[in-house]
Amino acid sequence: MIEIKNVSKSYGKVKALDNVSLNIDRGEIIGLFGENGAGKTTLIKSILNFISYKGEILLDGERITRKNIGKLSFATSEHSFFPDLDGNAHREFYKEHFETFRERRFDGLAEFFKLPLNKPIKKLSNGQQNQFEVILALSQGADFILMDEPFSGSDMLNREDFYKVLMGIIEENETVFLSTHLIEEVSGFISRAVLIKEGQIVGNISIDKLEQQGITLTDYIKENYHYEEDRVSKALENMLEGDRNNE
Amino acid sequence: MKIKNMMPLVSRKVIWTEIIGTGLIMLVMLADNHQRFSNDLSYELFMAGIYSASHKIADINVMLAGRFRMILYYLVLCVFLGIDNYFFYYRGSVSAYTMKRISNRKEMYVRCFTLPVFMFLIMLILSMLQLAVFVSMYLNYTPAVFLPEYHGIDFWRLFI
Repeated sequence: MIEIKNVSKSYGKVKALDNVSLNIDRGEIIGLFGENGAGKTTLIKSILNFISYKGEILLDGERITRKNIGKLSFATSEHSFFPDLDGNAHREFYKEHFETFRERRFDGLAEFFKLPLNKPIKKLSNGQQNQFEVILALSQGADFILMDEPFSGSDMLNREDFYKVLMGIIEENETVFLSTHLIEEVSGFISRAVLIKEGQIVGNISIDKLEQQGITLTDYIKENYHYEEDRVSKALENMLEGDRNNE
Repeated sequence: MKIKNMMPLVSRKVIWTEIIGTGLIMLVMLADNHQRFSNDLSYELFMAGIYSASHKIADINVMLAGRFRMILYYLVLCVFLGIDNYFFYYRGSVSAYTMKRISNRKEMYVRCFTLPVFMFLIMLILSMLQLAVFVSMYLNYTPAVFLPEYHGIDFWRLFI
């Protein structure tokens, strides 16, 4: 389990995370939602110890260090592969550095997505690079797979394929923590939704509970974000009124 | 640790470009140094011959003063090469994230700086060999009558 306890992070005067507490249990697929700048990436980078923060994050009761960080894998829209190397070289690197590397899963996914493993990754299309990024995260053999908008720039069919693969291969002891804007697309397979707004967790609910309440994920998010449905019409009205006054 | 685990995580082409590039610069520096020293020694011997047997050629420490400053320039080049290798992990992707998730925290730096350190060590060894050649040329090719008293090499002056 990942326990996030009272974690805060500031960039200058801007609070990116404000006293965030959250537990990520094993075997869940969790969606992390929030607008741009809400703190999703900062939260994931804090879990991975890529940035300093106040508070405590424990992985199975221990602080995250180089010794246990192998239990976490990471896929990001920024990409974390080695662009000059080909897929085969990545396989060798991961085999050597991650004891739990799942070679069969790697080869199987690469074959499924028809990714050429003898071509430098930088020569692949953006969609293929996203696929490769996620394949690496899924094949590392990590207990917790953290994904930060891994499908940004991928087309819908490409993403759909991935959702199917994700649902098909994720095992009971594997946990996926997926930060994304694609609320409706992922609502069908996540088990829990976590909402973050201005660095604070403003919602944390299981999908089962939402279904029991008869609320869709999109409505739940809008409600917790205090989204004003008539926001756009009001703004347009104000603009038109301004134009009329000027005339 | 295997050698391939000490190389930057880039294509072989890039690694060979680094090796050949820094190797060529090293050879040019050494060749230029050899040429200059040979010219200076020839000039000294020529001048000594014109004057008389009582005229001594310059002291070896004077002739070698600052002649190996190139080692420092090469060191700067190697440091820049190491820094450039470091930025490979932020170019085209942020592969530094992957390096931060492996158990060996030093590996990323080992991969950045092994090649530059290796090239610098070669430069150091070849420079010392060149120094031995210079001293040998100075002592063996100069007629004894033109040689000033030899007090050994002042190593600090080689760089200043």
